[in-house]
Amino acid sequence: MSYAVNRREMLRRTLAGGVGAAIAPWVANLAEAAEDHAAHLHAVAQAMPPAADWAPKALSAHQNDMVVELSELIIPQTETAGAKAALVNRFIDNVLDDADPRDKKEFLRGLSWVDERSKDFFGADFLASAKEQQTALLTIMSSGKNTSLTDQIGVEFFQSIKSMTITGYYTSEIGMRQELGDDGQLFFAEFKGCTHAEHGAPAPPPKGRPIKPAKKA
Amino acid sequence: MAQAIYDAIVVGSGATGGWVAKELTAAGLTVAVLEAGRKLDPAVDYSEHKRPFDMPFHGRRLARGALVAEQPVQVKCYQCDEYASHLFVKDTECPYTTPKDKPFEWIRGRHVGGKSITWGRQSYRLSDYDLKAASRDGFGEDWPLDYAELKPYYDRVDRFIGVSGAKEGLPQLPDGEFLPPMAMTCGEIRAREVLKAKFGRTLTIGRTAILTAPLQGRPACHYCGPCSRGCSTGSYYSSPHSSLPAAFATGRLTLISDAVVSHVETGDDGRCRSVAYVDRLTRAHREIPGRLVVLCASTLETTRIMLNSRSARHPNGIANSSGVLGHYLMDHVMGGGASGTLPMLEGVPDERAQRPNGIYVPRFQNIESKHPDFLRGYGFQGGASLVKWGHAFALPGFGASFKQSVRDTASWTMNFGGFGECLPRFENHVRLDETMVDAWGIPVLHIDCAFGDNERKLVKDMAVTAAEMLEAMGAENVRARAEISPPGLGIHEVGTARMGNDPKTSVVNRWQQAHDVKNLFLMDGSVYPSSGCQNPTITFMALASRACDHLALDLKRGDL
Repeated sequence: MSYAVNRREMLRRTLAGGVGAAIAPWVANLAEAAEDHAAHLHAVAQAMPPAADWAPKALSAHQNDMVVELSELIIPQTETAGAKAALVNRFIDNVLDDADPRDKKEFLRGLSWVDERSKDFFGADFLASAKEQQTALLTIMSSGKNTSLTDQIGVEFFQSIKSMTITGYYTSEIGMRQELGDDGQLFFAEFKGCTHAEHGAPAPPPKGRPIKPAKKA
Repeated sequence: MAQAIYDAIVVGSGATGGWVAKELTAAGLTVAVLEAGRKLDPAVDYSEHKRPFDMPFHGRRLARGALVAEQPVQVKCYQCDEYASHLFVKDTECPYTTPKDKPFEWIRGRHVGGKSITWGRQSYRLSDYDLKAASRDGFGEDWPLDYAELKPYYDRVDRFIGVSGAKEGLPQLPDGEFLPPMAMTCGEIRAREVLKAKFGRTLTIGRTAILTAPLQGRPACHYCGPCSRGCSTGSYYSSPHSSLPAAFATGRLTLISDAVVSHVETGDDGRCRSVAYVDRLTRAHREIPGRLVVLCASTLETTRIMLNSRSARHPNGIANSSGVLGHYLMDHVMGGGASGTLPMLEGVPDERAQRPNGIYVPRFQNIESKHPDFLRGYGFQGGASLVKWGHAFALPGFGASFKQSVRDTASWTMNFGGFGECLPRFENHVRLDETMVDAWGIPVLHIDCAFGDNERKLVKDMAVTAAEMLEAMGAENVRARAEISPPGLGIHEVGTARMGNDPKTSVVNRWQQAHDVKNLFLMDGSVYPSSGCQNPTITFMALASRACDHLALDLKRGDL
């Protein structure tokens, strides 16, 4: 059973509640597909071949480049690596490749929308625009509301790529190791639980003993 | 060449089949266990130590594609993922039917060990509140035994498989012979205190069939986390790592895998003579003779085999003179609960060791007082853990500030999810679907089951009481949920061949021996007369031990 709160359930509620209006079905579908995908393969990107041997399946080369930049804008490199280094674009390509074709179409429509708006506002497509311009467009899209500058397509597309970037990043090796502090240790002598007297912790449990990893053939 | 005649043919090698093999071989019987699936190889089939980036990438074998095509039902189980989907059946090979408006999600595993590989391991005893529930509230039938009779057998199971837990002295949830309990997290300790002080309810650490100390040659748990992908060290109870080796050690066990049982053959006297099966790989039809037959095929497969064992003596299926076989199907109802964040634990780190266990709040409704709206009750499972990034979807913005805000707002979250009792109703039933056969030519089941008014009320109450408890703890962002789950998904399906003293209203007697067929025994969940709300496996095993003891005694006396 699931002992902690179900992340998918949290995702569904927060997507639905977070933007005021009902979430578009395709956004929820892709977000949930990303969750499934992460649950099954976690950092699928890391299991994939190096860049030279990799080609997107669902995205065109241009679309893939856009997803690389968009995901890095959403979760950038700081003192830890960002979505680009974590190969979140590959994760998103996988999700789209395995998605309902109608949902995939909506996503690709959103990518085209981003390019068209970039041309309207900045006179260049998204990748050719300056970083400040890209950030400005994303800021408008992330408002969650239709305004004179954005519309439902842009709002929904941002929700979609953001949710997939979150899932892809935090289940990647980089996300897990660098950002979440997973040190890769798999075997533990004990689960300590609460050790804070102020929380009412009982006396420490009997001392565990070191355990050797099981040998696998 | 004459075929050996086994003292007992046991159908199924899961939690109960393996256990019955151990008990009967220990009593001196020669036993053949038939298993429908293959033998697993832990080095290949278990993946609990695989790191995400160790996972091979198999193109489109993803959640929405290949998995769904072959396993549209199994994939609804929370554990049927890329790591473990091979531990669940292919629905395309093992179909069943339901009425259009009554889904039943039948989750199955066919391999040596059955669902004891993927099970949730939670192990709670029934009490007389459950076994004698009908006498207390007038609904259904009492069990033909009481807790005092069952207790020594629960003890025997505890001592052999190892159950960790804490003694609480509760009449509705009897204590066992526990290994040391696992530790609680900060939020769980707070919850325990608040529930006791404000509601008089007990919150205890999950009682789980996982070793917290070495036992029977098996090492203690090493807290890697994902038990349901198999345990290479055999540190939780599964038949291939525990009971089956004990049975093999007697020299009296024969295990036949890839044997898909279709029916039991009876002689002119109506007694079981042999078990007929289809070789899973060659489709060859075979028969294996035995002096007695014990069905441990899992609740619904056991009943399916019986319904398909038709003869002149048993025109409606073996041991079905009562007409009750297939009826009174139950599964624990889920879908009610609540979660909330615990602001008082802000900044408290979690630990890397993964505890494969949660907390349990034993049933508190209809124990000391009578609830006006519903009968019986439910227990809560859940836990408090640090949510490190699941909340990110709800956070606004993007960029470096967004990334930082995910770190800054990681929060401890407490969750309660209820498992409720399902009342036994005649109309919830299974029968053979004469229009469809499985991949081995065996008629499939038609499952006609729906939760009723009482279960719906339980789910609503789960949501209300869980939210109240969280608010009393000082939780924030409390979200209650009451979305009733379809039956089957609890994976606690029980009933359809219930036990009782009256041959007119039950299929087996109090020793789990068919009223109509003296050498046929049922030793899995099919015999439940009522469901309780506790995770049932340990009760299946305790019941089986008791039945095996009696069976061996009868054999000695020459009564079989």
